[in-house]
Amino acid sequence: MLPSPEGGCANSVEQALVASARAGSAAAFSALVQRHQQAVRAFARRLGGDLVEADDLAQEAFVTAWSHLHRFDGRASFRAWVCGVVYRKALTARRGAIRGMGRDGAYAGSRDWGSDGVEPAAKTALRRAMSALPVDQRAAVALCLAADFSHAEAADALNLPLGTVKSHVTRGRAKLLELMGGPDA
Amino acid sequence: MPEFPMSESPMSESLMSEFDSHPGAEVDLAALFADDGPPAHDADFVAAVVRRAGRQRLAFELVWSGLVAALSALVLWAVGPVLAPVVKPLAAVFAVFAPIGLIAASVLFLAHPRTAGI
Repeated sequence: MLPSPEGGCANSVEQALVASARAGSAAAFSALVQRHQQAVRAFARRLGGDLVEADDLAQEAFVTAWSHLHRFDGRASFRAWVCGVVYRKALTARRGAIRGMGRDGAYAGSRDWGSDGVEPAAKTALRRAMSALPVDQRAAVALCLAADFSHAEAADALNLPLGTVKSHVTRGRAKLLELMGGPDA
Repeated sequence: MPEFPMSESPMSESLMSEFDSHPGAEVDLAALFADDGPPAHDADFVAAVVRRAGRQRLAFELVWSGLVAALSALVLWAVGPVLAPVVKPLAAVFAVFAPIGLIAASVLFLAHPRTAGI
């Protein structure tokens, strides 16, 4: 499970870093990236695509975050905000990719989770099951079940209503277990 | 990859509570999700992001400076005859050299090892 950088002291440090980065400090921005790269990259990976694409997406999201830092109002955590950027960029990229692949259906099934070697069968099954979820459900599951986001935080990040996120997580979990042949299947 | 259909509408509270009555299921998934993430510290990734952000910022500032220079040249060229006969030739020179300077700066920017590629 990814560590959550939340908490009073951590929050004040984060606020200071955001303020400095907003003022143009590359060091503060670098510190923010260092604090949140694990969570953001993990989220990008769980959204799909291979590892290189996911890391590229995460990089892009951080760069966008820096140039649009004035829009970050601090209502959600910085981590949630950047994950929201990742989600929106992933949606845009996929819409473009699907359009670009034309009508021959070549895109379907052409992409999968990256695997860089031997992987336990259960993890492979989980990756495949995640790929089978609708993208918004997958995003909600990736945030709430894999990255310790609260439902409210995920709702902020994904710009979805709280009830929708809750149902995505519940349905997504059930679907994952069903696809993996789990106890609730 | 499927066509990323968006999910259906929120489910009822009763159905949600039915699923929530299986806490063990979430624990299993959480365990599987647990250690498949990237490393907690990755200096290369951070450096790549900062480099990319710096490059983008520099490109933005370059374009902005070019626009300001071009606009200034245009204004000088337009008001030159009104202000003084001396200003117009200067403005013309500026109008010629500002785009050349911008192009040269862009080439240097793209060729510079700190900004070329990631």
